[in-house]
Amino acid sequence: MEAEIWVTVAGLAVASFGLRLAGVIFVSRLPQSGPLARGLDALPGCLMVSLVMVMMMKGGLIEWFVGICVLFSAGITRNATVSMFLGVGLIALLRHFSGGI
Amino acid sequence: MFQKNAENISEFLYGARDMLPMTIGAAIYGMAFGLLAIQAGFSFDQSVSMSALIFGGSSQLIALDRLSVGAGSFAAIVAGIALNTRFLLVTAAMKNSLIGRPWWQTALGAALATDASVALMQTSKRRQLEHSFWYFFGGGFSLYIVWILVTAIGAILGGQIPNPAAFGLDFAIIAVFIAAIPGLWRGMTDFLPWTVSGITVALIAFLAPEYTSWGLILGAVSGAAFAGVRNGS
Repeated sequence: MEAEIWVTVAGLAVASFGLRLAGVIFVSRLPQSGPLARGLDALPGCLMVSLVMVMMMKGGLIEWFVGICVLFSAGITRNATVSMFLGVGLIALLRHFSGGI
Repeated sequence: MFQKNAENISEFLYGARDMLPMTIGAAIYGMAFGLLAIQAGFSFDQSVSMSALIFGGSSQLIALDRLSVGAGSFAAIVAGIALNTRFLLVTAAMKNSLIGRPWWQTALGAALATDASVALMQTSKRRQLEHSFWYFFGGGFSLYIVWILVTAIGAILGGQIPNPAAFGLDFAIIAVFIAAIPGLWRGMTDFLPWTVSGITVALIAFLAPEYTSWGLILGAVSGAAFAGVRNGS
């Protein structure tokens, strides 16, 4: 497995950097206005919503409840650190009392 | 010249500071990776190299998983690429801070781009630093250093860490990304594109759970495409 690990590390490292660079090269050739530009402006939010959705799809009722609490907390306080600790604390507490993990 | 340098340093430090919540979240995740890598038979050098060269937690974990079930390097690389395709979108989303720069800044900025960089956009807007290379470099670089350090710590600690889920620590990284969402909201114009993204991900997760990691890409692209083509935008 020794060689396999190094091959994987090297292969995935090159591919990951290639993908990161390709994004910049791709976007620099697109027009700065029109439908493509509007789509790109909307991309950060859509990407973050999709990422969170993928992560939350594995969660149960507790995770969804706490996730919504974190969203409200961040919307009101605009403080990501406070909202994160609130989420971690709430989830530990609810899992403890629900007899979960 | 001196004033420009001082400005760059202060933007760098703002980036590192604003990245802190994501750094804390990723630190827990990175430590878990180091721990799992050692348990899967990786050496210390291999675990740390993986974090230093790939810098993408979920792809590192899936490659680790593929290797430990004996699927081979090729399968491990392909699975990792499937997850990291989103980096295409991440650097595309970061266009303002990466395009029209000296080549080394574009390359370095792209190498340090992660999901957390997208989360950093909300604070960059507030500070009016959306176009600052140094702001995003500060955030990415601080996250990168911590990512390598915590992987090393996880690898050294080996099996001594108790179940992190019992303390809610597995939720930390999800919570910081959720917390980034309100800052990315540009008003009601985002409502439908975001709904399209969310529904696409949910549909793929229900109908084809084995392709959930592709769901992320499809979700992001379909929401952005909707925003691009709809009338009256």
